[in-house]
Amino acid sequence: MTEERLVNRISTTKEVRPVIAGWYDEIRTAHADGKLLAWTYGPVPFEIFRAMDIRFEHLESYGAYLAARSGQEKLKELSESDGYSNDICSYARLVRGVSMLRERGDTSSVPGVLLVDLPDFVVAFRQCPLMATVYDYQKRLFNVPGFCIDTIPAHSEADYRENLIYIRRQLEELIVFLEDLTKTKLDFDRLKQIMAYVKEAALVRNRVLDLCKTKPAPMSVFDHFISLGPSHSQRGKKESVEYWRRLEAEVKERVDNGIGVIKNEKFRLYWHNLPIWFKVGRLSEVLAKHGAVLVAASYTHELFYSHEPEKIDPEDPLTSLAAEEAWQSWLAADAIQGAKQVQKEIEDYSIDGMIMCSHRTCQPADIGEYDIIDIIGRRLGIPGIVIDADPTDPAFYSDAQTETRLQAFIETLEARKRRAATS
Amino acid sequence: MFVVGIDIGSLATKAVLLNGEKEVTGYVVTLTGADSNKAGQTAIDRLIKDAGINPAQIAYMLSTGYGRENINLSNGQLTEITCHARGAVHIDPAVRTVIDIGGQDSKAISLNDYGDVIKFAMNDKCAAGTGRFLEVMARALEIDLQDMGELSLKSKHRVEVSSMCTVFAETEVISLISRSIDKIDIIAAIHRAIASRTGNMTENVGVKSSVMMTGGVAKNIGVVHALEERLDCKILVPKEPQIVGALGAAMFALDRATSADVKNNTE
Amino acid sequence: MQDILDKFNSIVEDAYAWLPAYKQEKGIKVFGCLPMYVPEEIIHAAGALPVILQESNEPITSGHSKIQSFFCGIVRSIVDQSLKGRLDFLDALVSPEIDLPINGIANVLRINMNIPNLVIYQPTTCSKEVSQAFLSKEIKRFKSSVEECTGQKITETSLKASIKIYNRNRALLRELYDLRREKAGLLSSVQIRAAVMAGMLMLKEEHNQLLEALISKLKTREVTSKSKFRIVLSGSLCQAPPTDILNVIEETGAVIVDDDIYTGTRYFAGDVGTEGDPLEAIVKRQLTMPVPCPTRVDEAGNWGDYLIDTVKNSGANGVIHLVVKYCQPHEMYYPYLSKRLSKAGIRDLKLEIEHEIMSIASTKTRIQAFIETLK
Repeated sequence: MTEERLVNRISTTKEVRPVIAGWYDEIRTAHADGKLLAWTYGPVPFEIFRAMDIRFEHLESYGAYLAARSGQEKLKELSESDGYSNDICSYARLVRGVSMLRERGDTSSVPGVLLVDLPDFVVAFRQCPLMATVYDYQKRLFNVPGFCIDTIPAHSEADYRENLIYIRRQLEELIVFLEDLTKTKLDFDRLKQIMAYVKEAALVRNRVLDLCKTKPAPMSVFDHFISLGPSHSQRGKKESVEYWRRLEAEVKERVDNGIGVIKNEKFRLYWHNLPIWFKVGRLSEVLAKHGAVLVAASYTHELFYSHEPEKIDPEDPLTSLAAEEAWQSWLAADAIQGAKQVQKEIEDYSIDGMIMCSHRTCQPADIGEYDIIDIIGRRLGIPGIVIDADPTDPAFYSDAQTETRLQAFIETLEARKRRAATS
Repeated sequence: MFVVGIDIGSLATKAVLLNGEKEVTGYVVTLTGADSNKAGQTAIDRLIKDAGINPAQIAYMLSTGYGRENINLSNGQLTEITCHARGAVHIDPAVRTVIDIGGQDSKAISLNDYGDVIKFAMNDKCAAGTGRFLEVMARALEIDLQDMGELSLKSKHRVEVSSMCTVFAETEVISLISRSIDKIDIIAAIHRAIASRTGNMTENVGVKSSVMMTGGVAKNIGVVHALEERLDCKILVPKEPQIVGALGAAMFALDRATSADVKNNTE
Repeated sequence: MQDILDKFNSIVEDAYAWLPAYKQEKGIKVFGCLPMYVPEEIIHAAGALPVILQESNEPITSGHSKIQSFFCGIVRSIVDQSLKGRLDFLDALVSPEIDLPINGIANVLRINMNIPNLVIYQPTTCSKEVSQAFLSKEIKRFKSSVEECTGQKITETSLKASIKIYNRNRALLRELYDLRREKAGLLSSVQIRAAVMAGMLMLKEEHNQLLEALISKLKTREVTSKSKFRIVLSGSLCQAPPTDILNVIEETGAVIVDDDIYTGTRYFAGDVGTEGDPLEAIVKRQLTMPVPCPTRVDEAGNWGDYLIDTVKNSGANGVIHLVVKYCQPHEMYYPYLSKRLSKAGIRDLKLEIEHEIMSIASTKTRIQAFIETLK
């Protein structure tokens, strides 16, 4: 069925797929290249790994990568047949499937592009508490060294500051751990350069986010979700700055010419929680059909150095790293803090409604969604709707159910608009 | 001397009459309905009548299945897991894995070399992957339930039905139909979905040759085929897959009837 | 003795009927603690009563307007209770930040209730020095919040006194479990559950008196039947096991001889040291909980080893895992545990526990089939 594409995607995002493929090639050739391979869980500081030339796989990115590819069902099947309940985080189930194939020594049942080698060591950042369990479990399974960076789910600014110090101290220990393993010393100058690029890329990225405040929105959050790929795989590299600059130029041009990512923009929406990695394209088209576009999201606008990147001090990389981690932990834990961010975005981006995505097996951002809807509803009168999904597992997703809800939601927004126009 | 094994499932009641030489001298399959005690009684009456024997010749009756405790006439009871295993091994002593898919539930059982159950897994919380799933889908596709299996084998193009839940899957199937996807391909996808669900459960208990399938759904050649593909092994299907549980119950009944310990014919 | 057992039973049958009345009788402040691992001694030393919040018997209705249905029963039940006003008698909440749902509802409760919510950040990387230092500081902060909340200063003397009472309580519960191990079937597992759980809902000094009386009677009791099916229960994290399941297990002729569940060994294993600074001693216990937990990264702990040891020490021949549905940490560890047990030649069964009424028939079939494999 070929329909005319309603969404005018940012063409710079076409660069992403080969970049990601390249990253996985690097991961796959780690051992052949004589490098150590780490499996990581949670938002660990890639910058340090990069500075030490350690190749790493990242659970959440890997899950997102697998979600859109065929053959991944087989991985989940494997983990379920091993006794893993399907209530478990779908990322963890996918990765368990990969490790099972590796353990068996027979990987012929899935395409090679889905696989990576088993790790030499494991590192976790316990922002999602489950990451500690996955880390601990896999560490025992693979019988490899590991390091878990603990964090606290801060509920106040004071706690956030305590946490920053706590994390920073652990980063120092992480470096000692990595130096021990690799028998090399971390080159701090290199890390500083990496942080400089991180800062620059974040600043450019934030300018792009700001440009999306325009009406009509030149870029949708779906384009952003895709752009997160290079945020991880190219973080700290010059290429990431260049990617964002190209993207900025494209977006600026659209703004200058009043071109929107969809024609007939009627409603600007906010998306809460992780994307549904295997429905990014389809949902953007579905919303566009009703004149709706996603202009802001928690995952893109609040994380990954989108918060005050101007404060990053490349000369003090560890504090900068710890600050970002501590910020993410605060946001993840505290619905009141979360609601503050949402409110800011609603005001800055002229948002008409919120889509709260409730993920069945990826739960950290789920709790508190109802409260955010209530708080925003009371403060700003902006409505929200909850949809049921999962980041990578289609078994917990129904096109019909979700698309009906979204359409019904937009119909209520239309009714509000008409009401406001006549009163 | 005769013994009876009776398997009272939530949908169907099965009874087997065994003589002293372990030969099946009769069997009955009826609907359970709302009164499992009554259904059991009816099944036994028919069994006795068809075989032309005297009720006094029945030395022991063992019940199994969902309604195993409700039936007044039985002398003892064991779960359907233990009984399916026993029945399967009686039919073929080489069986080490039993997959039972019934109207409303499914189970996987792994046996040791003595034919004893070592591990089992059950799916009895939802209809997905059971006979009920097939019924719902057959209705959605407007195909006769009986024809589903054969048709699934004719599929040429692979389509996916990924939903876990029967209701969701039904919606998925309807949307596939509306996209003019060939019904035969959809039927095959449904069978693969059942095989996937059941296959995971079976691998969880361990797949060891020989593998036997029991229960009403074993008569569906499409499911058998899809499971063979999923598990990459040959699956045996006995002539009357539905009565394997009752057969196993009857074997246990024979043990107890001939055992010197039995004085009162109670558990 | 029966009156003690009856008292325990009536307390746990409806914890939220018992607690407000008990509070009034004692004229004491009540701190509602979410599971698990709250350092209750600190609250007790301030003259308040720490209680461990339990699942209520009510179906969850209002709760689902604040939390999705695919979270474990205990957190949904607590949210539900808070919205229905069942927790209004509390003077404060205590939220140990141990894992995702418990952490998450700390917020929901903060937003939807008017009482103070004292959060304790628990490092999960227990063997790291930096985490130990963090917890030291955190426990001091918790102590200050408790003092502020109660208006009562906690002295070293009062803390040591509370620790003594709590250690005594744990020792008595261990003694009860020793008796059960020796004389399986001495009390039904529902009675044992009530004995432990009641202690979570009353002053420990009172619980100690009742336990002492109970144990002295039990010591003289003989057990007539000797079941050959001896079961260890594992898991049931954060929640008490449903009494239905315990009854069904025993109806098949099996006996439960030991456990690592929260309303069991997990709660009373390991004492607080009595030497030196009592706060540091409490920190030490927090970091070195003897029963390994899937929410913690504990280099020294190994749940597989612990469970196998428990089976061997109690002369058990089977393990029943009680896995709370949606408890991802336990779900993730279960396959590993099952394989370890299998390698050690120990049979096991997995049962899922849900808050919503489950068909006891299918659970009964599973348990019976499992016992049938133990012959």
